[in-house]
Amino acid sequence: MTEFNLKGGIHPDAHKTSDISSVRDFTIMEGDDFFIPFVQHIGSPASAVVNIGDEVERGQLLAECGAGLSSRIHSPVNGKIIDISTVYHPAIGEVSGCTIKALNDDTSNFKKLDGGNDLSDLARLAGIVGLGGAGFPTYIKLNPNKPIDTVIINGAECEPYLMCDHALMRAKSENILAGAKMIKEHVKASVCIIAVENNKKDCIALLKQQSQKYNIDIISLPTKYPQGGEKQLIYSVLGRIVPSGRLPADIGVLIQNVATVNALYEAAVFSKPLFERIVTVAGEVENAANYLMPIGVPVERFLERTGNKYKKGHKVIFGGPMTGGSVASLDIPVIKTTGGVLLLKNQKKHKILPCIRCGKCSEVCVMGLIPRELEQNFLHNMVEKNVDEKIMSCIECGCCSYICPSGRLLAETIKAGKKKATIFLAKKKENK
Amino acid sequence: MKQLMNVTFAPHIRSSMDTFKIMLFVIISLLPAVIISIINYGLYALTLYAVCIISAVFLEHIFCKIQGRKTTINDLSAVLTGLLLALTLPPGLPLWTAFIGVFFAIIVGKMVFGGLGQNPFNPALTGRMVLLISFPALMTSFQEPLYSNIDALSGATMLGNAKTDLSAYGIINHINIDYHQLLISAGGSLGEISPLALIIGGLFLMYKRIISWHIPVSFIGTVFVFTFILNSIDSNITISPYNHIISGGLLLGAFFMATDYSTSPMYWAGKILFGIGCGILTVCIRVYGGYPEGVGFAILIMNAFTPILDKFFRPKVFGDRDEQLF
Repeated sequence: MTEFNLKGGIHPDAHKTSDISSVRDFTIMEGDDFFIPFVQHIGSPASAVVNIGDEVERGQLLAECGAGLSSRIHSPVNGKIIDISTVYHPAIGEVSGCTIKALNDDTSNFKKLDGGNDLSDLARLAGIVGLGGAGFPTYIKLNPNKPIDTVIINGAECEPYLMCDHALMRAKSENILAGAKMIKEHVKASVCIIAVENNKKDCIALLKQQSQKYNIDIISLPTKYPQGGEKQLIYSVLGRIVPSGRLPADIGVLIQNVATVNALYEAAVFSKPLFERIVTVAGEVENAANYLMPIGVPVERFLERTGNKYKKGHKVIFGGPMTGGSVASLDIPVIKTTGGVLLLKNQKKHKILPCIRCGKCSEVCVMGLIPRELEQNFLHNMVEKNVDEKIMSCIECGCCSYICPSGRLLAETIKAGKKKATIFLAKKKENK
Repeated sequence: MKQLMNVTFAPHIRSSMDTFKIMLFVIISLLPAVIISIINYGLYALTLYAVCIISAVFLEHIFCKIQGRKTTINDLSAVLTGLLLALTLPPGLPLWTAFIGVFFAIIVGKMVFGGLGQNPFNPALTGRMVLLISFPALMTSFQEPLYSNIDALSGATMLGNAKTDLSAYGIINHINIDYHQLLISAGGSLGEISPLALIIGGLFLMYKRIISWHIPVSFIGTVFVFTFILNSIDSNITISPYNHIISGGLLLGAFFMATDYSTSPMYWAGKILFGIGCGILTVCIRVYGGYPEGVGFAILIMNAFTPILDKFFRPKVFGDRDEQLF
């Protein structure tokens, strides 16, 4: 247990009921279409290095890093490129990408990476991005311009329903410990800590058994949402506060998700590029389980092959119920940052009532903001006031909307307010 | 795209605790006090509750219709206001007086400001104070509870007793209340007679996290400390701190009225100051003021400070520090 208690936060119903006894395999069939967006990360789209009609191997490079912040994309299947134009991305709509038709169902081999001098180069070659959900290219994080003293591996998985990290930690605990050690040595940190919420006692026990060998600490955290948020996790584990507008590296901390660590380990040991990940399917489904999914599989086929069915009137959510986005079509593919596919009942359209000043939104806000004021400022177009009230500190965890007894759309409005505030700040900078 | 589905923003799950449920839980937590008062004062008390609640709902509904907006009675807040007002009334109050109180509570106290969440002053207390000032005789004629067994009490309320004792003889006849008399204590308003029922209700609300501990604890704590000091200086200044706490609606005010969301501060430091302010004002009015009873006025006065407390005592933004450190 840690001595630093996170202020605020909520305890939503966990619903962590998907089968974690094993990570199931997803069966590819000949003739399946794979939709591969070239943006599966934060940054610019990758640029294609293959042409229509090319036959590609599983693991072969499809697109090289674009300009600036970007990441590589690899093929998840042995197949033929049938189209390079646009495909749908779960969050941002149509983006450049390619469509691959599977030529066979072979998943035993993949094209190995060559080269890679050190871990960060390897991460770039393997196209590894933060698998916790943000999708920040990992090679940038592994090249910090400040000295790092502590590496924290994030196994909190505080979102309800999601169990992909839980299943991974059970199945690949040794890989995670070895991967964590690699990262620790790469950034020359003195301490490496794996932080897991205490609702995953089996993982904690499993990791603790082997942690001595790798000289890694395992910390159990109180179960609370959003315990796994970057700044919240650093505070809970170390008691350090990341200043507003700064990154964890500024206070000497590097954070990686357990799934990213596993991907790094596989890239380093098996020369395996990132083209598959563990995805939870849960919610209103018959078989809630965790699958090792090749990227690019549309939801419809994913649900069908896993013995589940989309029922009319349900919402399909990519990611957790607190931060994930609901998608408009069943054609949308699973990508690198998709931790889960949830089917949730369409809630009754809830009434939005006037604020009753209960103060619960600021009670649960882990960033110490006052959501009700930020919402009102936005509705009255007071952008500058919002900036003064630190709207940019919001981590978009959604606790305020969750708790609001009047059903106000607080987090939703604040997200819109942040966009306006960004434009306002950019203009202000220009004028200076 | 093949199929367009319902798309909404995150978060996709919401807490089941909505405004209706909050109001419902507060009403449930008041039920023990209501039942004990009905047992003690009989059918007339029940009629008084009914008149207050029905007229509160009716007036809110009519007012919404006049304003041309959708009725807001479904959120149960009118029921709660009516119930809270009834709890502050003497058991024998004529029904027409109660109706006037409800009118001021609902219309002047709440609806003219825009309804739930917009009112600066606690509606139920607004109604009670209008009645207290307009009909002082009716509002202070208390009966003794049927099952009360506190002897030594000549009047109905301990505070009223102490005031008359002091002005008549210059000394206070101190009364000892045993713990087994907490269920039905001395007389007073409908909601005042059972300290135990109010404490159970208040703890239930805290357990349900509908109210936080800050205001009740600082309010009651301040009253205790202040009266303890006064009592140690001279035992003829006022009644004992223990009697102060269990009488005169302090528990009702501290748990159910001072914690009203709309009219109390939202952040913890403000809440504590609000409670301390209420406590000091209550004791000052009780001991040095003209009225024997001060909780209602104290809360209403502190309600006026709520906006300023909210402005100055805001939560600290996580990670907000001087940039010079880096």
